Amino acid sequence: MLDTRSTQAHHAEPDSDEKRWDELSIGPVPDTVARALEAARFHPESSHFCVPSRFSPEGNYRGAWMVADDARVAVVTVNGAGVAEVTWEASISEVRQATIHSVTGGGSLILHLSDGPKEITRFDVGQTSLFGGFAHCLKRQSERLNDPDNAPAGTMRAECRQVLEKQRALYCSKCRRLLPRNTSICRFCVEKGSTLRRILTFSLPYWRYLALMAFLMVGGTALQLIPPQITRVLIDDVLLSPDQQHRLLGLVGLMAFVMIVVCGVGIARARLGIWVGCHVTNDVQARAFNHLQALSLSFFNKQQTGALMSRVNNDARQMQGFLVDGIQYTAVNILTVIGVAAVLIWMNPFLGMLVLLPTPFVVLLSAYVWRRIGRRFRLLWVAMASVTSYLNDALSGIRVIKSFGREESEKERFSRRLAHARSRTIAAEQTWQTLVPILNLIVQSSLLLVWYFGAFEVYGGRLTVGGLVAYVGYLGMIYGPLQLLTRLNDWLTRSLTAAARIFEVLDTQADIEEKSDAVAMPDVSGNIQVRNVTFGYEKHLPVLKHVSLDIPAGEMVGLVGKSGAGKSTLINLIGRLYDVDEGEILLDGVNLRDIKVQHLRQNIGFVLQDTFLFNGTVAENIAYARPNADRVEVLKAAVSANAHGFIMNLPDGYDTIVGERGARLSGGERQRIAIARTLLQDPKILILDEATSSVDTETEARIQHALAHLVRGRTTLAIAHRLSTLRHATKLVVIEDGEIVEEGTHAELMSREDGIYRKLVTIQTEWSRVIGVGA
Amino acid sequence: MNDRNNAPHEPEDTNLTVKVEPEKLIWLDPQRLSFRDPGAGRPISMTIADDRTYRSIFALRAFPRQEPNGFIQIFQGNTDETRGEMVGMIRGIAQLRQSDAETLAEALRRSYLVPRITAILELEEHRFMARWVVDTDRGVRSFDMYQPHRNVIGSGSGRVLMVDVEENRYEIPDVEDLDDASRRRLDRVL
Repeated sequence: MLDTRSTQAHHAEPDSDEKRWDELSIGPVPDTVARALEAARFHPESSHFCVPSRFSPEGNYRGAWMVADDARVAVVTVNGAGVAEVTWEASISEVRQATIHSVTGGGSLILHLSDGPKEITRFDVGQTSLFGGFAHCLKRQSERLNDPDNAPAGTMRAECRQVLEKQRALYCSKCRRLLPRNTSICRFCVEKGSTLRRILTFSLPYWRYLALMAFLMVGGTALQLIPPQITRVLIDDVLLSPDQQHRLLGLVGLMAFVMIVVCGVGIARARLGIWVGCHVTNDVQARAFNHLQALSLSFFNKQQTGALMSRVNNDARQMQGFLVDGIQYTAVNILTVIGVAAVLIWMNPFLGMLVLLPTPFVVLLSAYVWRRIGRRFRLLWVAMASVTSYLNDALSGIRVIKSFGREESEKERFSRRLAHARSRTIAAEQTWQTLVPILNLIVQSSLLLVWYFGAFEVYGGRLTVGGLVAYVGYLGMIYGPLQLLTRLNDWLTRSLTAAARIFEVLDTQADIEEKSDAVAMPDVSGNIQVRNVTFGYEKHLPVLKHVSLDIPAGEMVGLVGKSGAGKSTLINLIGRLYDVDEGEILLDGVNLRDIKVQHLRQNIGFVLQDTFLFNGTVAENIAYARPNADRVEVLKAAVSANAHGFIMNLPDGYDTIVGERGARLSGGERQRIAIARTLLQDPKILILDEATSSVDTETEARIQHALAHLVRGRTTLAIAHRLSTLRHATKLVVIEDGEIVEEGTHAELMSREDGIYRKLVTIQTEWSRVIGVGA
Repeated sequence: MNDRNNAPHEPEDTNLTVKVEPEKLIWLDPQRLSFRDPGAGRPISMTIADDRTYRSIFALRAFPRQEPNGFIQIFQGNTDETRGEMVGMIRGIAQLRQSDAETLAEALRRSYLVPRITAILELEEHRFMARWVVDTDRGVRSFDMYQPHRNVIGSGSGRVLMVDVEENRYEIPDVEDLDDASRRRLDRVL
């Protein structure tokens, strides 16, 4: 089985074959590896996978290349001299099992061959999913080779391609850097131009206001250039000529007028900016939220709620910042720099060049200073966050600290953190207070140049005294904007990345889509057929395998099995919260994919373990599925759900606000409101997921009573760890590792000597006896 | 007593997922242990004299930072070579025979892929991330890191943990052991 062939790196230049090898990999495949593979009769046309693991089997960074075609799997290693060789090779038909074993910092790919398990290679954390997928591909291919009659559908090539594509999607296609989690937007490669254009398309409905803003910006900037010119006239024509005193009041008045107009224009521009910015952001937020509502649960499983909230909220706000302040300040600053530079050169070209020449130096220096200051302050924020988090811990846990008498050691721990924060504060503030004055001094040194060389221009009659003073005035107007513009790129990139992340949500296609010719089924009888369904949240890791199940209308089926067996997944598929990977689910003989989604959801009621109540009144929560239900209907539903009694004990009865996520109600109370909600919905199919877990016996009895009322006349699928919930089920289905292993009534399953259900019940009964003895 | 004792096999108010067996701390006698590594990536086996042989074992440290060579928990491998049931704990590697200690060290090495940084060769700070080039006990490696001031985590004892963008971990056992240039680079973010 072991086959060692080697090749040197100095062979002929790579031809298009190397490119084809690259298509089977995550990055470029070196020439030497390609040659070694070809020497071992692996060809890019017939191979499907050629990926380097980051660790060798010995755990060193000189990784090994895993290669596979339809029949063989091999490892290629490159030694220190750059020589690649196939160091191990096996026939895939020999692979009995392929698994990955996760360890701290990575994992191993383990293949079970005829002579036992063998660790083939090791990989780091970033490659876990890649090699997990590859192991799955190998296992399926082995099944195809060994048992063609019962071979899994698909091909090795397609499955490997899927695994590779998934891994590639984690990296930026341009710079190959890993993308931040939950986004495909690379912060290095975000296309500023197209994103900016897209932001502006959201602004189009407000183009009149934008045009007015642009006019005010240009006008305001132009007006700002006027006061130094008035100063020049004031000095040259009035102060130095006493006979012109009568013009003084007029000129000062004109200056006051210009200043007032500049102020007014600035206010108008800023107010308009805020108005437009807020409207555009609001539009974007609403579009993003509406789009999120249309996406399937699999999208939400991949995205963390916090990250999505951040997109709808923070990213949108950052975009607002860009629209409100960013565009304005950038435009105003750029206009100011251009306007002032033009005036400076127009007034005196020599002085103008003298002042503008050091500009690149000032820009570079500012960038350096702000980077250093930024780094110091980031370190300070981390230290301050550590103090805050410690304070939070210590004050929330004050009872524990006191009860264990640990006050002194806690004081010491706090002092250590304070001292750390103190040293960071001193370092940050001292850097700031040192570098910023030096920067200002350097910036202002151009003033000295202007005074010195300007004086010679005055002596030479090429500039008036008033002109020189005006010059100094203009100079003060140019360096501030220049310094701000040095930070523009960072800030612009941040804003545009935020915008790009929102656009990513808007561009996500809903993967549970309704067909254009979907069947309208407002009323169903509730016959469910699950046919040979296979499904995995990650396609290479199936949670359900070839599951088939018939649930006649009006019957109650109980799903039994350990946590993680696949019970909840099955009910999620029946509710079409996900689409099956293989097989089909039929409702009244119609594939779920062909039914209008709204009608399907109307006909299915969920009572789940984690009952979610919205922040609103009890009545609003009960009437959530039917907002037009009248008060009598709400009351009847609550009574049927055994909820009326406790609701009447709440301070405002049915008008009591339940608090965020129903926090002010107990678990059992929330459950009963959820049951009332479902009763009011009146679905034909009912799904109960561990509805009575985590409540005391009395509450459970109340819920059971409510449930008995609820299930009457409906097709019901119930999951429960407590078998008592399933006492009335017409049929019990035992699921283990994603497969149905037993099916039948309680009595039938109990009659099986080695049955799993019987075993579960026995454990439960034994446990009851233990409790009984203990009691 | 109530009538539960005499009840038939009828579902009651209990939770089926409750693990009935309580966990136990089992100490393994180092004098009775022997380990074998067949090489070529095959599983390491462990034999307890006068008792039994575990065809495949895994080893993990209970206190990887405070006592890396003590309190080693041994697990037996499942049939699919994933980590299975706990077998017992070894108080210290030093109590084993030399050859067994080496094999156990190899078993531990298989369980941890956390390189130890011996030198920081380069630190390049970009706008959003830092690119590090480091020399480690497993070879030279370059990696990217978002927000280095958050992902370079120091402890008072001089040990530093670094976490890259893919959540791979790298360890500097003691900052004092680094050369001056490496320490200067580290100081920029720590």
